[in-house]
Amino acid sequence: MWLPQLHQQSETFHVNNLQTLDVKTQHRLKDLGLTRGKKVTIIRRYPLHGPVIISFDHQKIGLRWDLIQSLKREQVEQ
Amino acid sequence: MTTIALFGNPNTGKTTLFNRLTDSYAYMGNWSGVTVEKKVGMIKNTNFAIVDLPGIYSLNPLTKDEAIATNFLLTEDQDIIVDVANASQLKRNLLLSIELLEFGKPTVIALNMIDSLRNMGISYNRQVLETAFDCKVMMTNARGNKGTQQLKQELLAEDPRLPATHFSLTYPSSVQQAIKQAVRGLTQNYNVSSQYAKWLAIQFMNANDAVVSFVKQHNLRPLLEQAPYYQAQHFDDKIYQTRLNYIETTLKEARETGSNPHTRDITAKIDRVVTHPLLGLPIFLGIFFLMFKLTFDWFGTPLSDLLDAFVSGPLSTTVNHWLIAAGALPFLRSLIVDGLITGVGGVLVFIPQIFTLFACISLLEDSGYMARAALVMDKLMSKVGLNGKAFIPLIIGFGCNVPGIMAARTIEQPKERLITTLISPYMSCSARLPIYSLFVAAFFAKNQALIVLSLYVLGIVVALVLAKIYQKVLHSENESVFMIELPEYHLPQPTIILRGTWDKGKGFIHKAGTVIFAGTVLIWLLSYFGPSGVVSNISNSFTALIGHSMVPLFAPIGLASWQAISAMLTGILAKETIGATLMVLYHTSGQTALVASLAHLFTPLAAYSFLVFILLYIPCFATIAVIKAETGSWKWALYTIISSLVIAYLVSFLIFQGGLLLGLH
Repeated sequence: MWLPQLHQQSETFHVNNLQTLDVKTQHRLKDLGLTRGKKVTIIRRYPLHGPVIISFDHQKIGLRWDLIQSLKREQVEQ
Repeated sequence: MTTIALFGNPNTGKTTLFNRLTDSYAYMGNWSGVTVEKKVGMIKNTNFAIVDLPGIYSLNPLTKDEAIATNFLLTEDQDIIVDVANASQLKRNLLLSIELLEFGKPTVIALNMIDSLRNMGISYNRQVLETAFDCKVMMTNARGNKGTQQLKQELLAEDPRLPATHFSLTYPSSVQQAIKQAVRGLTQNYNVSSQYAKWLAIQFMNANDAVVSFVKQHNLRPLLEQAPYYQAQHFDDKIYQTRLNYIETTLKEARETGSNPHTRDITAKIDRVVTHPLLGLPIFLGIFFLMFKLTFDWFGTPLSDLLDAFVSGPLSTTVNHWLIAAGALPFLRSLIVDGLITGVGGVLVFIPQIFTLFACISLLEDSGYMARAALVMDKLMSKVGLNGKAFIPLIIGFGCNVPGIMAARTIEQPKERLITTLISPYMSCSARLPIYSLFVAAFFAKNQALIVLSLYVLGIVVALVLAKIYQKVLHSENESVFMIELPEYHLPQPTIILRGTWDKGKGFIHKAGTVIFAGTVLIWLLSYFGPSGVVSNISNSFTALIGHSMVPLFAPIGLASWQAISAMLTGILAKETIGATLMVLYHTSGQTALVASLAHLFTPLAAYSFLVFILLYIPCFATIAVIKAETGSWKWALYTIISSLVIAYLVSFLIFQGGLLLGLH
């Protein structure tokens, strides 16, 4: 499971809803411009559910894996 | 006096601009949260004061350093606001600009890092932006010192005629209506200007924590009574969305096609390697190993040895001759030659090593690697309930624990911040370096860098284990969030590296002239005199008496020398004093001689145990004071003193006794 991660494909997704996150996290994501509907590209994933680097609006942000999951999960449910 | 306040998002180059405008040099770095305290400087030959504030994303503060910026706006006077925006991330940066413009003070927006924007092949029409935001817009590149002089001229020339801004955004009608009502209530009953009332109302609707507590404190009823309505109507979302739409429309209108993009995307190329999922961690460790190699093997130590040869040889002998020729009293001669030159001089010879280490740290800070290091370390840090950001204060702590602890202000969760503060003193600061150098030269000549690295690693391990324990005790789990911006890499600039190194290193020289000087004189006096007056044999002196009385206590960790114990006691003043004290007590004229005499007094195992104790025991006075200041209580400072002493004893005991069992000596 480690080797395939060496050549990572960039992957994009849309942020659909931030409401499930706690207030502080929502606040900071909003500050960074990460809002509902924002198209985000994942450019780096670390093994073992480590941090994920995403890029949008000409900036790169490091976030945790579970946060990315909850941003994506919303999309599936709706 | 005219006060100019610098506001802006984190890492937009406010401090670089501050340094350019004031011709001074404040601490800079390339990650979010370099500035954690406001700094004031003057523009040369004027009565213009410039205030550099911590970076904020919005006026609603999440962390302690952000609160400093918001509170400055709320409670202190500023005549002009300079909003420093990162030109290539305007969409996000202008959100803050709008909040500042609504405040109504004369405002200048500096589009900084304009070079990066041009490299992307984009440019914005200045007139369009100036009209849209009703304020002066300047293009600057503070790092390359372009446009900064024009900005300075603008600030100097226009004042006091720099007009207040009349920027006003049209919010949805329900919000607009509520603002009007609130402004009426506030201006009629509370004696505030309508501009300020409007700003206060918008911020209150936007649920700005600092403003909400300000409103509660002043019992501004027109706002408090309406709070549930604002909340139910999601006014904060409406305000945010209106601002964002306005920014997007304006930017679209102002955008011009610039020159062809020539993005040699160096950042992406470097990141492909240093943030590699598998190689990231080894690279991080490699960089640190390189730092130690430079400091101890390749550069720092050889220079220190040369300096030591000079201080202990020619300097000491010459001064001694002069003093004899001048007929100085033996007492005075001994104080100067055996006390000051040996002690203070013995510490000053470590300048090359300490400055090399500081230069390496400055290089990491200026390049933008720190944020990557935090990212790479996040997984490991999350295991102990901290996040990767906590690693930056810890790395700075390798230089000095005091700024390290202050850097912890950027951590969002109060509990995580407290834990980071408590574990920071275990980071082996540069002041502990001289004593390591002495001992590794005496006992581990072949593996100097490796042994020192092992001490640094031990410090980190102890810190992480403690963090895990604190996590359990303080129940900080599940709260942790981690978000970090990865800035563009900068080609490190020699002037910035030099200034950074000097800023960190001058503290060391200052200490040599004050605390270490005093400590050396004290220890010399205590060893020159005994209960029976002047002693000819140092074993009868006060120092020996005190040291001897504690020998049984330290025997289990392998310490049999009273000199070493006395040295540890003075080390609480400042860790550098430990080496100075040993020099004085052994009456040796320099490093080489001391190394030779040490070899007879310790076994390698006892020496290592001693170093471990030095690494972990009570932090220096300055660190204790900053722990008190940052936690706001003596309780935590006292706790640090006691716990570190217990931990140091325990770990040294395990290493020494364990080593004996394994047959080491």
